[in-house]
Amino acid sequence: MSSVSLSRSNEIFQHDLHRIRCGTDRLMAWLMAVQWFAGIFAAVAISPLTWNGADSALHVHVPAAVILGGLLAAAPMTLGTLMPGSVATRHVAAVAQVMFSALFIHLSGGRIETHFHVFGSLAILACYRDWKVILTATSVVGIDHLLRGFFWPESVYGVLTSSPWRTLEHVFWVAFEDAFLIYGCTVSIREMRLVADRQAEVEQAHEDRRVAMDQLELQSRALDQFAIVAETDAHGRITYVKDKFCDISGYTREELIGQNHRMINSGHHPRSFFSDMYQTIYSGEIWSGEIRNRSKDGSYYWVDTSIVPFMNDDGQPERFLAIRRDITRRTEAKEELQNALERLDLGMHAGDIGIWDYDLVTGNLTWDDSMQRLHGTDPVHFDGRYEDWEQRVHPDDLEETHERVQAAIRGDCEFNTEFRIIRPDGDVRHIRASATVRRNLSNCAVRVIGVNSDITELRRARERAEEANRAKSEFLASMSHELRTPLNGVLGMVELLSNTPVDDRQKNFLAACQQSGQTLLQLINDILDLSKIEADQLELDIHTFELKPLISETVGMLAWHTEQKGLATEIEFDDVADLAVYGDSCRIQQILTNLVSNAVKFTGQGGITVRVTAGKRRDDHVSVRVSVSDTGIGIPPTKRDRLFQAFSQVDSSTTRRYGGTGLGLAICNTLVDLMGGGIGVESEEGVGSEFWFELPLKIADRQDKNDSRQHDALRGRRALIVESQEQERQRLEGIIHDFQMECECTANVDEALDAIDAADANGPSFDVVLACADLNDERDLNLFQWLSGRDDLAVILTRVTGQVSEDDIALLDVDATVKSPATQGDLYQSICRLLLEEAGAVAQEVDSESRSGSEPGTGGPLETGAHILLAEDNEINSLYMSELLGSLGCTCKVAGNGRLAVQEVQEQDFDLVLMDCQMPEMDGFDATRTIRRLQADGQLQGHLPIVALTANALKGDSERCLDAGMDEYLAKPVMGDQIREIIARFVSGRNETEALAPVPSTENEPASAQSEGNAANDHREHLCEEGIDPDALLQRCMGQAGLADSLLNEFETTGLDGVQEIAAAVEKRDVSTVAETAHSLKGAAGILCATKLQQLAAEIEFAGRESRLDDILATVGELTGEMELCLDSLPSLRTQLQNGMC
Amino acid sequence: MSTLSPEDTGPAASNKRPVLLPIGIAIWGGLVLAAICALTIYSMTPGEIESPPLATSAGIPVNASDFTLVMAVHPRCSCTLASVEQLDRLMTRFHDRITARILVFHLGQQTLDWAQTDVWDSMLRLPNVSLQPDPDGVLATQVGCRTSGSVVLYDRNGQPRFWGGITPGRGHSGDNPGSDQIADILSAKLMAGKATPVFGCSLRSPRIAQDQEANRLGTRR
Repeated sequence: MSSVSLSRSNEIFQHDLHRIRCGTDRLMAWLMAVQWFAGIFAAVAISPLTWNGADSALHVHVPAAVILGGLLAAAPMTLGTLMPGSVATRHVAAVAQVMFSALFIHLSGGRIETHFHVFGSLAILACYRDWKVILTATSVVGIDHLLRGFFWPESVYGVLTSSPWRTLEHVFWVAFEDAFLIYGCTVSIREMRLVADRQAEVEQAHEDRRVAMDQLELQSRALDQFAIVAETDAHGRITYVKDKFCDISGYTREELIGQNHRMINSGHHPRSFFSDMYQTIYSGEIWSGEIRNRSKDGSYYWVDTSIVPFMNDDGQPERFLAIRRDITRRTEAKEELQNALERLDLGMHAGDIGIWDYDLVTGNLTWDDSMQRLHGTDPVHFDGRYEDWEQRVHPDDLEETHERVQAAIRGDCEFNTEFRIIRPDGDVRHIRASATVRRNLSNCAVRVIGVNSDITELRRARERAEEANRAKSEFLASMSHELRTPLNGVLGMVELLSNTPVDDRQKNFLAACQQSGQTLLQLINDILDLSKIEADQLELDIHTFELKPLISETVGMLAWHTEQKGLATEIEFDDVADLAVYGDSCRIQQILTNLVSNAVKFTGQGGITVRVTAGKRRDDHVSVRVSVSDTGIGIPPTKRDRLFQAFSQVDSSTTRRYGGTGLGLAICNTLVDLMGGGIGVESEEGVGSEFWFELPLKIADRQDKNDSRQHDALRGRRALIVESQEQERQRLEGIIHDFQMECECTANVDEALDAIDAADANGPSFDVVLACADLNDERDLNLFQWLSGRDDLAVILTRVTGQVSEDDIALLDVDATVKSPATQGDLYQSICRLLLEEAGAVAQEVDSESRSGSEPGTGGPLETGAHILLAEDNEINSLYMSELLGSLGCTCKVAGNGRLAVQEVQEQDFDLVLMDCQMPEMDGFDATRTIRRLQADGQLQGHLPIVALTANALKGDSERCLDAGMDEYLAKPVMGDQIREIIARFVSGRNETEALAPVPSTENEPASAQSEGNAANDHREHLCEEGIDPDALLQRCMGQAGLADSLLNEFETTGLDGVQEIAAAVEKRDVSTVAETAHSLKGAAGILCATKLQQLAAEIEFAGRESRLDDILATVGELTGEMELCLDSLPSLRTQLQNGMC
Repeated sequence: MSTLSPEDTGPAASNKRPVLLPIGIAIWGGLVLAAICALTIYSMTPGEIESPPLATSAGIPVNASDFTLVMAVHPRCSCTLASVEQLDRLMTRFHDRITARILVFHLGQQTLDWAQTDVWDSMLRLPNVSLQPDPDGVLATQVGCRTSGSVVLYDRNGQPRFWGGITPGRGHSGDNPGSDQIADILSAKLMAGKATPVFGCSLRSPRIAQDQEANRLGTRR
């Protein structure tokens, strides 16, 4: 028995013994009580009274039973209660018990029967299983018998005389019983100890079993935490599964039990896989492996499986225990890792990236094969030392690279650098290296792992790309120049032409021509914008502007188009439009122009509405939403996503039918995005579209408005509006109110006359009348006739309907005519010109400050008389600039290239040099540098202002000009007001003390008017010329006979087709095709300067648009004859061109 | 494994031996011994005895051919039964040579039922024994028996040969000198015995004794 069990046995034994003795104590206590009460009962029953004759008294036995019995019983009862199990208790009980025996013997007069009480008492005391107690009792019995037998033998033996032998006999019998009782006690104690031993052993075994069970339970629970356990019989049928098996397989226990394990076979493994497995486990060996199983829902999971076979006595497997572990994630991660490693390896291999590992502890440097290959070495010639690598680094890069490595090790920075190496064959390669430093728990660097890649080719490619990019930029700059230069000529000439005496209708034509040029310029700008966007060079010009004039003028600029298509235009503002805000008004105008142009382009009938509304307003910022709604063709939902992509339209047919590059919306999108806003479209196919953009704009103070002074000039003036269309009337009213003018609106002639009479009578009178005219309405004509007699009233014609000709308009005798619909800028200029003649300076200042709505070159000459050198190789531009400078009162000297310009500067004194940047022989930059160098050398005195003229609009051009020594930069096409401003800046201040040059007086104006009238007449006559004007054609082709010849060839090929197409369309009564074809023919004829043909085509187009088929039929024959005439004249024309006879 | 409650830790408890425990046990033992001694002394204390007069003087008729034994008993004394048992033994042994007369005390003013107890019935079953009620113990007093269980043995001449008790103690039956002397006398081994102590209740109540004393004095006068 183990020491633990022995201890436990003793404990059990002592416990049992104590329990028995306590029980016996309690038994004795009860026995004492019983004997006590029995004595009392006996005394009362047997001798309750003692007598003296007739007198009785309580017998002494009764109190004796109570007192003596109680006395005897008291001690064992008390100790049995208070100290059960103690030695004293049981010995006292033994003494008391045998004293009861002695008492009974005595009271019975020594009756032999009562001696049995002694034996019974001893037997009861043997219950203590303590032989000492028996000895104690026996001792008391012996003493009692000895004493009483000697002194009162009758009390113990019932006789007066007794022999000591009798006492011995009694004691002997007691001892006789004692012997057996003591033996019994000893045996009982021994058996109790034996029982205790066994119980201890049982308990120990039970404890061992419990511990084993607990451990088993813990192990089972722990196993179940991660293991998937199942048991099958010898046939593979599942007999037991753990919960985790159910969880991962998706089957319930009921579904699994009794089923073959094949139910979760995924089919991933080949048959041989399972054959090997069964062969192993049937041979009694444990099989381990990874299996992919299929769960109930069809998903797959991987398990790491160990199958343990349990064999029967015959050596045959009777069941199998499968312990699995879910390794799905690990397997997937391993697969992903493997894939990543493969990809990494592929990438490393493809990118020729080498990996190195530098152990800072051992100093070992390890390279992989790619590193060896990069450095042109092999493992045999690489000793794996840091110094070996250093020897391969280019000496010029070694120090810096070494320092970077050390800095990375110190943790100062990341190791990411480039350096050169020298291969053994002498080849110098550029290496890009990066690395990460591994540190221990003490933050000490222990290892550096990095990669090297050969970027030699990459650097070369980058250099080539940079070169290509430079070439692209130069190409863009060159293209910009090449496009802008002739366009500059066109626009400049138109501007000059507009300054010549032309009537209002011709002025409108010129304005349209200028608008087309501007459109072309806009297209170039779009392409340049796109280039800038791609080059991330687009910058915003943030300044203060007012929303309402900007929107109105922008819409007004496009009104000519809407009017041509018969579309109604409406602008709706809410209060936000009255705000002055910070933003790039040019870009906003660009966006709006694009959206409105698109709306016009894609709308056949109906109208266009521009709405300006306010969105969220927070502090000093407001979100402004501008939308353009049309009633056009709409956009299919599937095509809307492509709208804002570059070079993308709804479909290719759109491009064919409506034209356009598809850049506009892409640029708009980028611009809006750049301004922090959003752009979008809602559209319904066949109903219309609404394009919108929303911009967050900062609100500017009112005093920032730079044109408030202009409006103040008109404050209080009164205007009368005569407009039959309510919407137009309201729009005009809004514009007039914006000018701080008072306004009254009338819808017809009668109301207008009443209003004028009322104003004349009651005052104040009107200052200006803005009236529309229906030339078919006699009352309208009478009104204008009556107004022409009122010198105090300025009359502005805002809109004309009916049969319109220049003569008809001239008959109206109005003071000014504005294009319909009248824009805010046009109206403002006209009103200012008519009402503020006495404040010409104000008008001029206003004119110079006016923005896009202003007409170029209308400001009159400057008073500087400056002498200006124009360095320009393009003759048209030279001509334009010369005319422009002359009109400004300047004298101009033209130099065809930079070298000539330098010569001119050395020979003459100039106030200003306008220097084209790109010129033959010597460009503007070199010429400027030369001039500055001459000034620096003292060969030239003072500082000669040089202003660059360049068609390059890319970012950096201005810096390049300034770097070359130029003072300012102007992008072509250059407008008159720009030249005016430049001269004012650089020359006026310089020559303010010099004598002013003669300024062309306003007296020229009548001459201009006269010439305007002549020109109009000439123009009308010119329109009537038949055939092709060779001089005009050659002039249009800038004297290039080849270009003119190619145009004639094209005309010869397609010209007659156009006429025939018109004739066919007439037969089909397809007036729209007639109009479109006539429009094309009109353009072609215009280019060839076939004025008669152009006029006839225009008449047919006009008649076609108004569906006047009869007029078309009358003209088609004439058109055919004129076409034949032109075609017949082509051979002689070619001869003239070839001979230079023109 | 079972655990032990604190109260079951016997060995430990037995070690807690109060200081007063031995003293208490000693006192208890002393008291017990004293009580037993007192009880024993009481048990061994005899009643009053008096020399009996001649039978004729006492008015006791005697058997001319045999011995006559007179015993005075108190029917309600617990010791009477022991005396009756001893008498039973004598009568059983010497029934042919002795006639016994038992004077049974009873209250004069009560009926005889008062005296007819279990002992009465036992006495009726004795051979050659006659019961004679003795109102107020007058006859017993006349034969000198003052204690229940007192025996006077008269010969055929009315001469008292023995007087005293025939029990060894109060209520104790068994061998005793009184019975032995009577047996010897009846066996002619002894002419006359010595008086032995009588253990039993007194047959004389103080009140009756005073009356009888007064009557006797009055008669003398």
